Amino acid sequence: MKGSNASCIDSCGKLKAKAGDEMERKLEIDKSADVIRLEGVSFSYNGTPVLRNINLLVEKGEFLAILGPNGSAKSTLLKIMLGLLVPKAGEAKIFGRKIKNFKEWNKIGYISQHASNTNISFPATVMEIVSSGYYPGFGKIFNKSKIKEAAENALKEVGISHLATKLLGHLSGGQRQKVFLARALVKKPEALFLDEPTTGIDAASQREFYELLDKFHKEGGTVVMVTHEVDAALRLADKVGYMEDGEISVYENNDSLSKILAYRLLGKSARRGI
Amino acid sequence: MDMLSFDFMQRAFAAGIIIALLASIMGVFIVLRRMSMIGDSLSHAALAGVAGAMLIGINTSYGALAFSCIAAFLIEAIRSSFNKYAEVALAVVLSGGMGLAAVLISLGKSFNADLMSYLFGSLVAVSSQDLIIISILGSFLMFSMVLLYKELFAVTFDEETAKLAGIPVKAVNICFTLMTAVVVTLSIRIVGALLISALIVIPAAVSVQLARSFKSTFFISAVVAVFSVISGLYISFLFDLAPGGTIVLIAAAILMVVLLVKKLKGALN
Repeated sequence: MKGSNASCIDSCGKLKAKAGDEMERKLEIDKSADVIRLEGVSFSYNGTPVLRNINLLVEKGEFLAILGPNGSAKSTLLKIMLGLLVPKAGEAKIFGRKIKNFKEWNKIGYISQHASNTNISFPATVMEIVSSGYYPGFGKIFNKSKIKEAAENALKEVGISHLATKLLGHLSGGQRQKVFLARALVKKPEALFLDEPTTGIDAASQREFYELLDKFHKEGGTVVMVTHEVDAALRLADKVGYMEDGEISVYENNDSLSKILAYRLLGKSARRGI
Repeated sequence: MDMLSFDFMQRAFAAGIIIALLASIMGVFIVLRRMSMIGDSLSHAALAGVAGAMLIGINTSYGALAFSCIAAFLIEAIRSSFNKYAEVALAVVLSGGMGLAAVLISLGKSFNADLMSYLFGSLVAVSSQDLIIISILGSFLMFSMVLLYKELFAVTFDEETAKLAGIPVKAVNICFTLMTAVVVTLSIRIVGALLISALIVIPAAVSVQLARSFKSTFFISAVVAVFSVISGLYISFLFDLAPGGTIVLIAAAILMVVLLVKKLKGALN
């Protein structure tokens, strides 16, 4: 395990606390350590259940990668964590609050799955897009210098200051993903949520993107990333969640994880007769 | 210019420029949100409002405003049921509005001629009272757009991420659709219900082709719209043409030229 102080709850609803009751008590007292807490979450699309009784805890500073075959509802789970979808049963909490009561959006950065399919003819510059990630609140239109400074810092952090005045449509796929990362970082979030962030970009850009993500994590940031890339998950994450048949199994990232994942991935293929 | 010695022409120019600014600036958001048909939908509903107001004998502007605002709420309600298919909501409201307008028109057979001015716009239809309403509501809308700029940009670019930035996306969408309803209602007098969509969409389409930043899209769109309105009114006065149609044809010609030049430039490069 890579420095994780995690506990996880398995898909059958039983808490796998690392240190039993003592850990439970700690969680009750120190709610601030929770970034995400899902309890008994179920979800269905048009009557077809896609998530069943999911229990999951992501603590501050953790990096959770979520793997699983296509259609295993990985993105759905991420959207429930963020309140973009409402679970049919169970409860989702973020930073210790029920999602409907959560207001501290500056703590969260998000890169959606469709960021890679964004309308690239949208006539906005990199600076304008990155600035849009910083929302000072309704009616606050006179703090432009603060927003500009935050956007410049985010561009610098991601290494794309030289692209500030370029239109989004003039960038490569890898550069665009960095723009979206800068937009997510502009408000200096405590946690980043990413949904297949490197889909469709070249290997060199992927590597650079993951280096930036690793830096964010090593500086104390929490990361939840839905991905298909097993290598990246094994290299970067503290915990890996594997989703299948509407359930999630969470594993600490230790020496045996690659074997477990290989077994699960191959097992699924074997069952499908591949 | 001689024609500016006529009061009705002064009013037409003043109202036309205000409407051109409003429609073209709103148009940038409308086109980028892929809701280009919203002008048509709301204007058909507004037409039903005009017919209804004529039927019961009240100011037609109030009828148009009330019906297009109701239609705006309906669009938002239907849009949320057809998440990725916003055009379904637009088509439903367009047909419904037109259907209602047809029924109301058939009930009040005597006002067909008056109604023509709302279909294709009419210079003489702009009264002093209209100009006052257009000026007040226009200023209010401009102020609202400045106030909501950050929210509208974020929601137009990516609703999901905007929501997670803490922007009340639903409220912004409702405000935006209502603002569009007001612009459409105001514009009907100038270009008519059948042509308003063009004044909203064409200048924005030109600006998207030429812009080097999001802020510059507004400037380009506004310049194209104001130029189209001024030259359209001038030409229509000189040659006794329908002003609404002339304005729209000039805007469309500008778009064609821009597309052609871009194609040629692309071919040469």
